[in-house]
Amino acid sequence: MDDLTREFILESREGLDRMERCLTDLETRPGDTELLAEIFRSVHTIKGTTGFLGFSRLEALSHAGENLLGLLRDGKLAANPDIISGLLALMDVLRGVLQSIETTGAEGESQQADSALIARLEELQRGDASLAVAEPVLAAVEAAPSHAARPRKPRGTGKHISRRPRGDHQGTPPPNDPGEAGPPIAVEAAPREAEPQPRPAPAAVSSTSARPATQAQPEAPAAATPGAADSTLRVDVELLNRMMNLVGELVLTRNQILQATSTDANFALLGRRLDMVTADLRESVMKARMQPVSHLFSRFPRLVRDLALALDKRVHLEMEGQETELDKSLLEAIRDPLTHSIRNAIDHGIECPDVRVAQGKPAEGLVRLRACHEGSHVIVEVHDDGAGMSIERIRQKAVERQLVSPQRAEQMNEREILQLIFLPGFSTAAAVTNVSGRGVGMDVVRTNVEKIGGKVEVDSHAGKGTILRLRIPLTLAIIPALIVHSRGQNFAVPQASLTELVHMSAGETDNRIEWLENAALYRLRGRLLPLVFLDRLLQQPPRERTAPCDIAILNADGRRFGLVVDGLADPEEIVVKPLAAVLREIGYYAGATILGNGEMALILNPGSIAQNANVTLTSEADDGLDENRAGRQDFLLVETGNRRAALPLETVVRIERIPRSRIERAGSRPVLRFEGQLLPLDDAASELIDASDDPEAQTTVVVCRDGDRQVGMTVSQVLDVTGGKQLEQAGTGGVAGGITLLHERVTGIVGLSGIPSLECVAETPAVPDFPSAEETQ
Amino acid sequence: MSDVHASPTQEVCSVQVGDTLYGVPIAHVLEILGKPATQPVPLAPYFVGGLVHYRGEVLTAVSLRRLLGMEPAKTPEDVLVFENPDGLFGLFVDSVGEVLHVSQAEHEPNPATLEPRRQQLFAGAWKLKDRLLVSLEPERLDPMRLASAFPA
Repeated sequence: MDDLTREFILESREGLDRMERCLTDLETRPGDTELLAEIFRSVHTIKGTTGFLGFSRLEALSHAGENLLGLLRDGKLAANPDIISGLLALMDVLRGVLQSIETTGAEGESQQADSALIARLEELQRGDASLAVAEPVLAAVEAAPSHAARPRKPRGTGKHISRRPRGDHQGTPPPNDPGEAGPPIAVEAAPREAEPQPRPAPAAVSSTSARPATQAQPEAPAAATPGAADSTLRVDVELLNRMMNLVGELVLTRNQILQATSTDANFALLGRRLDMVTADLRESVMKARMQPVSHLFSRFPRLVRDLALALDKRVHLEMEGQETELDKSLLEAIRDPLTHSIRNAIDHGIECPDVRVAQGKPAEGLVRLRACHEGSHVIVEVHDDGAGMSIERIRQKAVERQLVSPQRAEQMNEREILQLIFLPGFSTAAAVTNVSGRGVGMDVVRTNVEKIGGKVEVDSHAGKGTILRLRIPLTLAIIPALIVHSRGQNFAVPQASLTELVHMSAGETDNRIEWLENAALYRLRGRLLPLVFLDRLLQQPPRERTAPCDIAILNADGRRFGLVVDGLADPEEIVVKPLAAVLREIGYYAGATILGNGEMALILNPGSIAQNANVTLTSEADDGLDENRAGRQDFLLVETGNRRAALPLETVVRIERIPRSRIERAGSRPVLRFEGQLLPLDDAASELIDASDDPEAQTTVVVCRDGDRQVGMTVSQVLDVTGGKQLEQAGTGGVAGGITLLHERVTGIVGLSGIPSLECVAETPAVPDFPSAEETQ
Repeated sequence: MSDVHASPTQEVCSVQVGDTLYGVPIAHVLEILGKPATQPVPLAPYFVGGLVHYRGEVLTAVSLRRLLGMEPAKTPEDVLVFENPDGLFGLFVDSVGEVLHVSQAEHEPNPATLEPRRQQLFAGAWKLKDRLLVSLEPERLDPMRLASAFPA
């Protein structure tokens, strides 16, 4: 394909995307001349170029569309749902032809359907043109026949075939049926208001913009303004990838220069300058890869419109945060999961209008699509106010499908139950879908999102609706990872699957790793966790049994296991580099990366490690370490003396086991030197003083973040990480502060701001754990 | 140097592996990396020497020593960077020598007595004045091809 054609295809696609957005908007604002002009321009451009390139099929099609649009633009015709449907059909066919040109180089043959579509477009233009120009009063009489096929049309087939390539239009009534009507507003605004309709509109969609909230947000700020074209230019993604690589190279060279020149003052200055420029450059290149999510969102109004029509539902789509930017490759990657989620929301979430009305909800369902930044992630939410999921039904189904044992199912809390919909077995049976409201391919959604280092969360209330939250890293190329060592080699473990770290010092290893025949196990807060030794898995020279080691506790697609490694290095943001096919085939590696110090590391793939080590799917996994959900919070449950206390998990930085000799005093207050900082320690019960005779004794200290400072709290034992429920104060309806319900027991939450006054007692604990709550470090 | 009357000449990069001198047409060599840092890949096919870092990419490098069943090198090795249709790959050699001009007339195919594996890897040899220069063609060293031609 020559450059000109390629350019043409790109340009036409952009035009059609714009057209799609405008068309769905047009339903609510049929008289908006600017929208009409925009649509006209898109089609006109295609027509103009196709003639030149000799694509006759495209030319004929776009010509028909242009004629119709010309009338609309000039106000000789008013847009109505029929016309919009016709134009959407045209758009689909144009897209199909473009696709065919791109793949085969030719337009492909489909003349029959083409002429039917062209006839339909001419029909629309003729019928309504006469009507709009003639007296509107007569419209009612004239309009009805105008919708039927006219035999005198030479190219008409008599029947209008709505030939749309996608499968999701099958439920759409024939296009010449006014009953297909779009939003009521569009109908009212049209001059043929009085036209007798054969039957009332079964479904009406006001896809976007009916409510001012969404309207305030232009759908694609850059694309929609013609002026933007002058200041932007199209760049090949390959080129950007290459630039990204070169910047990576530059960063490494810079690091080496900085090391080599650290002694010379002049060079140090230059080095710092180089440092700054490099950092800026890197950021700019990354920025160049970012696109607003509106590029993705813009296709959903159409999807919602078509689905709602097909399902006889009324759905209003609200979109927020369209300007939120995401790496291009990630946008592509979440396209399918998001489409799937929206389909689910409409298909299974939103009820039929009569059901909704019976339940006291507005007849029109609401699907809200929201994107926003949260730290180094972008959150994309699909929220519907539909039927929600019944916890009981999910529980039943899960037991029926033997995904969990009945006993376990009884013990699981609501959140754990909801997680079950992501299990592969849960989604396969169709029967499940009409039960739970969700479930078709939810495991696929989760797998796809996790593939790019993201996470999926779900929150649902029966009768009130469901929120599905996709948590996506900002860029695909860069992921946070923990660097681990095994037999002198570096490996990177993606933070996304890392839940916890446990350190074992020399000598402890033998006692604390338990063996059941050949299976190594670790007792994590009373539960047995299968262990995988990285050195054995990779057939590296084995380490000594008693050597110190670290266990990285991983959760890979519901498989939980501990990966035993020699040691840990710092967490790092790594740039993922693809591996050659011969190495990909090994399966354990997801890629390679170059670390900040110039060394290379292989990126481990926890999923395939778990699979190969035969770690079974823990469908009953305590996903207690997942992120917070609305109204819930995860806590670190600790024992202080003989009391239980809860620490909000997101504040916990580390849990350290420290010899008492390292605890010093500033005045009367105990302090701890921790990573070069002084940490105020809570020791209200003064037990540290009594016990400090024995300098060998150790204390478990939970290091927490309290605003900008870090504080330490001594505890006797770490019991669990668990989700807590908010408690309502009786009678007030307000949330009771300072306490939560953990394991069905009311537990006090430690107020970190008042650290010196906390009542916590230290004893020598039995278990030193090192959970680093993800992202807290 | 080549003389004008002889058949066409070609520039080859000479590399040493063990006692043998090999020659790779210079046009195929993208770059020579002098003793780069390498990263071994556990469980990789035996002929993979490790990973090397090249211009922001992580390349898989084939070890000629391993491929020929020789002892691992005692000292850090040099890496030649080649391009194949799937991307770039590297070749570990003991050391890279000078660029030689060889004449096509001096080239002879592999002797029939050569061991079958080497028959497949080598592309004949050039007769230098005092020794042989074994011809290597990068496409025969492509990791993907090696994986199917010489499974472990």
